[in-house]
Amino acid sequence: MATVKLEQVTKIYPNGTKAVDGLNLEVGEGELMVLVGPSGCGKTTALRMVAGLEDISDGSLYIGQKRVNDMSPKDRDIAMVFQSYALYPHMTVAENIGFALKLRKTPKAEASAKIDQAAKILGLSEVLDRKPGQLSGGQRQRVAMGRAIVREPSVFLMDEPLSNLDAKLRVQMRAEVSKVQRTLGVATLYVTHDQVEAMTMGDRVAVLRGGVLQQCDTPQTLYDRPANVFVAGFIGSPAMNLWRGVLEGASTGAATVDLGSCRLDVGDAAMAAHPELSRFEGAEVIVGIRPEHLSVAPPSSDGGGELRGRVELVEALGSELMVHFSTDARHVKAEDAADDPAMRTGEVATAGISVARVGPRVDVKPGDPIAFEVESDMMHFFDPATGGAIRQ
Amino acid sequence: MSGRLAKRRGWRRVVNGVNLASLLVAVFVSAPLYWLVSASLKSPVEIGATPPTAYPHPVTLTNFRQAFLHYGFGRYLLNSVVVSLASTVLVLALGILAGYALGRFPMRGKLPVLMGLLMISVFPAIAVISPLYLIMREIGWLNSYQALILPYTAFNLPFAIWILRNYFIGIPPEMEEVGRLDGASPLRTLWSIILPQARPGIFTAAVFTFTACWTEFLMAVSFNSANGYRTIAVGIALFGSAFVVPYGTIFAASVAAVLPIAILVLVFRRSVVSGLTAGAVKG
Ligand SMILES: Nc1ncnc2c1ncn2[C@@H]1O[C@H](COP(=O)(O)OP(=O)(O)OP(=O)(O)O)[C@@H](O)[C@H]1O
Ligand SMILES: [Mg+2]
Repeated sequence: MATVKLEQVTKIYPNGTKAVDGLNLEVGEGELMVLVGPSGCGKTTALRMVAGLEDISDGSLYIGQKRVNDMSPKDRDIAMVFQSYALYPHMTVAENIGFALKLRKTPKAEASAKIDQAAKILGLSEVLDRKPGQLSGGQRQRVAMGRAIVREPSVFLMDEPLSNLDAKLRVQMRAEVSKVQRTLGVATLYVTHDQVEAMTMGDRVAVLRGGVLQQCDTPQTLYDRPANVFVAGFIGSPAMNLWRGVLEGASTGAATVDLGSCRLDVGDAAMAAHPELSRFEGAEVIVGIRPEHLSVAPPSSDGGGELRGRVELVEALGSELMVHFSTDARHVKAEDAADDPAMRTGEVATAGISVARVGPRVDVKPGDPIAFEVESDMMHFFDPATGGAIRQ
Repeated sequence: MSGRLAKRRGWRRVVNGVNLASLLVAVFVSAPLYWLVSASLKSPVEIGATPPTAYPHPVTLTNFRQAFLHYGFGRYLLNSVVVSLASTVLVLALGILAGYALGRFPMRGKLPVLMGLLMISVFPAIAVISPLYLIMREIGWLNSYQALILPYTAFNLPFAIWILRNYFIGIPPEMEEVGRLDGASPLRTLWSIILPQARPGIFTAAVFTFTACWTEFLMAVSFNSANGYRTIAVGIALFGSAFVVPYGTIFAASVAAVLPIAILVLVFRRSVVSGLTAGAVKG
């Protein structure tokens, strides 16, 4: 058992691409740490550096107490599951799982006992004599896992191990991988670009973007208190609605925020939770509201303190409705927030489509005007200049 | 096209352009072969008959007996086996290492090397016969196995390297990475992980090299004309004397010479076809 620690780890590829930039991360003993972020943000690169398949340009990597920057992959005591599984096509399942043991000259009887045990854990006992070509996608994935666990490494690395599976199997394997990891209690660094996978599997989740760590915390904290606009937009499905608004009346004790032509109340509780908000009196802030925190207002209401718009599209999911609506508030796209200078000056902010998640019995049709009540203590506020959350 | 073919009924399903064309090609290719085999089984008298007979009547093995017992064709066969086998083994050993390095490792000047190899492989052998002959004579290698093994290896290596390199490129790089993580040394990775996956490419290179050595004539006749070192190609050509051309014996020897190649291709045909088309389509 061991921990993994990255200290200011940086990767610059020979062609000058800075794929990972000053990454600090610590995976505790037995912890499942998920590394998540959009495509090209450097997740695979970070993982490969930990594996030793890629040189570390700068910074230090520790496994256990040892600095392992210059240690060869096989001495790091890690096992990695590749996205493509990378099973040896010419070996049977048993040989695939046992190859590392064979290289270590593990006695035959001991090796085959370990292979059998791994196969039992993963439900592969029936297919030990088959070649990878004769297996289903889920079974191949399990063989890749088996190859990793049979070595009893002190660290697991997994690079999008489930992304080749269909949606249903993915959900099932998600639970299985978590279970196996928990049973073995091995520190695990798990890469995915799927935020649902990240949220459901991770003890903690590190959100990466453009090679830079945005936030690393428990899934619930990421959801409740995103550190910046990017994390706010990335975590949660459907994504958090983000608008530009102007804060008024913070000093008078009856704070409101103007989103287009709508004026929403910012309750005292919300003001108390974000004391720094008073600095933005009369200034622009980015307001974030999750789709599940918008509820349809009764038609009779007077239109004050509500978010009004027009229904564009209704998706019925059975248990709930996704109401896509447009407002005259200026919309912020999270993906290109924060380091896009045009966005900071507000030049590209336009009326986009917002989403609300409402009960299945609400009667709405595309084209209808609609008004939402907002739970004000569920509002998030971000500084438009930095993209960072406005908190204390 | 397959749709249109599938719609045809009755005799038109069998008699159509595609089938007729393939039949034509098949006849065109196999007619000389048939003639060779059937003639080798005819008696000398029947071979000379006009008009020629369509099949041997009666079937006789006289020609084969003549070739092996009287003309010592067994010796030539043995020489060819030694030379071709040794060359093939050398070509594979060197070609695998070179092809792997050229396919997988980052290195400077890869393109010039590959271009150079390609140029060597289309270089006409006749152009180097005289200088090579002089060298061989100088170092006393005329009429020896190595006089053929060495040039055969050199001339067949470039093509083998190309085939093998292309095959190695098609194997996903994760294979080596997984091997490294599993704790395999580079040589072990090559041996236990890469080579088994490159088997079709290796067979292809082997069959091509072996066939080329087996049928080579120019160098063989120039460097090894002494009776004890003749290969089959030279042996067959030099059968007989200025006054006698023993056609029957030549036919029989030719059949005996073609047989190993035919068996080789038959056994490895699947691997060879897939080796030649590797990389053409993914997967
Ligand atoms: N060998 C390489 N040489 C140069 N640049 C590279 C190399 N490998 C990756 N990159 C670049 O580094 C950045 C990070 O790549 P990486 O593969 O780590 O992304 P990722 O987060 O794993 O993306 P994905 O979700 O698509 O797998 C990308 O901009 C990529 O183009
Ligand atoms: Mg990746």
